[in-house]
Amino acid sequence: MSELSKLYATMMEAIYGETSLAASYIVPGKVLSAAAQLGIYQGSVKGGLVQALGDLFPASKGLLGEQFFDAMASRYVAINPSQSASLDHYGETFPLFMQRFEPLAELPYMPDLASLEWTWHLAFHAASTNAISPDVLTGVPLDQADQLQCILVEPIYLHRSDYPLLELRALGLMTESEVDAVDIASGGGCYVVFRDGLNTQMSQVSPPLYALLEELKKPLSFGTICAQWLSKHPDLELNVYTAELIKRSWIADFRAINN
Amino acid sequence: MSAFKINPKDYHGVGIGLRSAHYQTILADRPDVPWFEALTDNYMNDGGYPLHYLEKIRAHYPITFHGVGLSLGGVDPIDLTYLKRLKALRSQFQPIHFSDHLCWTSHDGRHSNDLLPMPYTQDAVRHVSERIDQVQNSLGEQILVENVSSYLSYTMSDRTEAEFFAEVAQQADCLILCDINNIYVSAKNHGFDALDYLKAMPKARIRELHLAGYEDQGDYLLDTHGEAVHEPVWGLYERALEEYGEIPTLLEWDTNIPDFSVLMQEQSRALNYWTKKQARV
Ligand SMILES: [Fe+2]
Repeated sequence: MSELSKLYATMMEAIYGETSLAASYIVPGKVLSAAAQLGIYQGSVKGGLVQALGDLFPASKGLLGEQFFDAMASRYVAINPSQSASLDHYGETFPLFMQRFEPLAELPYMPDLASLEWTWHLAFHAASTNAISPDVLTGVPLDQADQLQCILVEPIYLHRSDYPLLELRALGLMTESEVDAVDIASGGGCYVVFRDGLNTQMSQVSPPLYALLEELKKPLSFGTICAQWLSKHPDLELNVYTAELIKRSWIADFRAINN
Repeated sequence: MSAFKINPKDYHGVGIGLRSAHYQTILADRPDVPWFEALTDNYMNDGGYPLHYLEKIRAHYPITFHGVGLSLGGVDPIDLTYLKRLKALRSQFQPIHFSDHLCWTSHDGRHSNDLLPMPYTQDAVRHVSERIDQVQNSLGEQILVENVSSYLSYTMSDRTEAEFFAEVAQQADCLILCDINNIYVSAKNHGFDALDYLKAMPKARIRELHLAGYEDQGDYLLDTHGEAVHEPVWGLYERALEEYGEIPTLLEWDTNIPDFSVLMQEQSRALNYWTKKQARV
């Protein structure tokens, strides 16, 4: 290992950990000791990542309060160093960490809310596709559904939760002044995170519509998906739900299979 | 390595660092700013709001690209995916030039997302010069390399930062982005003379200056880019213009971002130093 490699390895270890091994590489200052100088970098690197998590999970931070959130985020940062030059990739496993974080045991809805926030972040930065135009839609040979694949617009992310995530998010962000408390016992629902132009949005949808969206994420023919959905929802009208997908601009295209 | 082609009309005076908080104001008011500096790391995603607004702003203003992610001084291989994305962005937005820092930011797959200082040794000169050369060859043009603020120095360093910088610029045949605030911050933190630093830099390679605000922590100065430019930094800027000539200057503000009008006031103060200088000539 070169001298440079050794120095960087020791420095990185010291920045993420609490070790003072790197101090021997550092010239003690007149005012600040080597450890204190190193501490400035420890503070800025960890502080930067804690700040990034707060920006990525604003509703979670709002609900938990800055002090609790930052303490939890610091624990996460200590065991999950950044692995990318871009902070946009940092925090993917934060919801999972929250699920296992003992002090959050009394707040079981928090990991679900954090997952929703992560997909909001992904959707915000994703390339987007347009919904199918009415003209193109009219020409789709729906009588040959077995030969067609229905493509959803991008980005579109699905969440099912036992908790009222939209209300929790609104409370965390305090964007809707009428939301001043959330009844966790009111139950959860099915949620969709998507983009309308540049605007990232979240909607709650009915369970049958959600089931259809889940099926449409699979690489199966539209005919197969319809048949499977109908077998699970024999009392419902499929047309009503496909019409809703079109109305919500969530279908991008129908493509011939094997083309 | 050929120098990038700059239309002097597009690149003069005092530009401003582009921040998302100001997208709407810039598009609505079209302020008199010669160019904006876009932080490339904010536009590395596939789509969405930031890229959309960068496109709109680019339609009205020249831009420069400024990055923090190449880890030029690091020993992990240069991230080719990052470089590829940078090239794609460059062909889409046609920036005047690209710059990054004389520092390291990652090691063995771990990233600091912070600009960490290098040791100033002969080995390090050779090492970082080769990597800058690799990037320049890949991009097909010279890049600008910027001095960082630092809070520590290494026992293994056997030359000053300015000497190190000059050697690197010479060996890599790169250009320099000289951050006046960073010089001042490091000078105070390490107890060297900022003017000596200014004079030791190879002025023929300096293509741009940066101005920003620091935060006084009592025991040291912290480079936060979260305040107005401080008086001693303005003083040093004036000396830099005397030393280097009228070098395009960029005003950075990254935290506690104020209303755009505050940046315009700072820009106008920076331009006054140009006028003052012209009046003396
Ligand atoms: Fe700078």
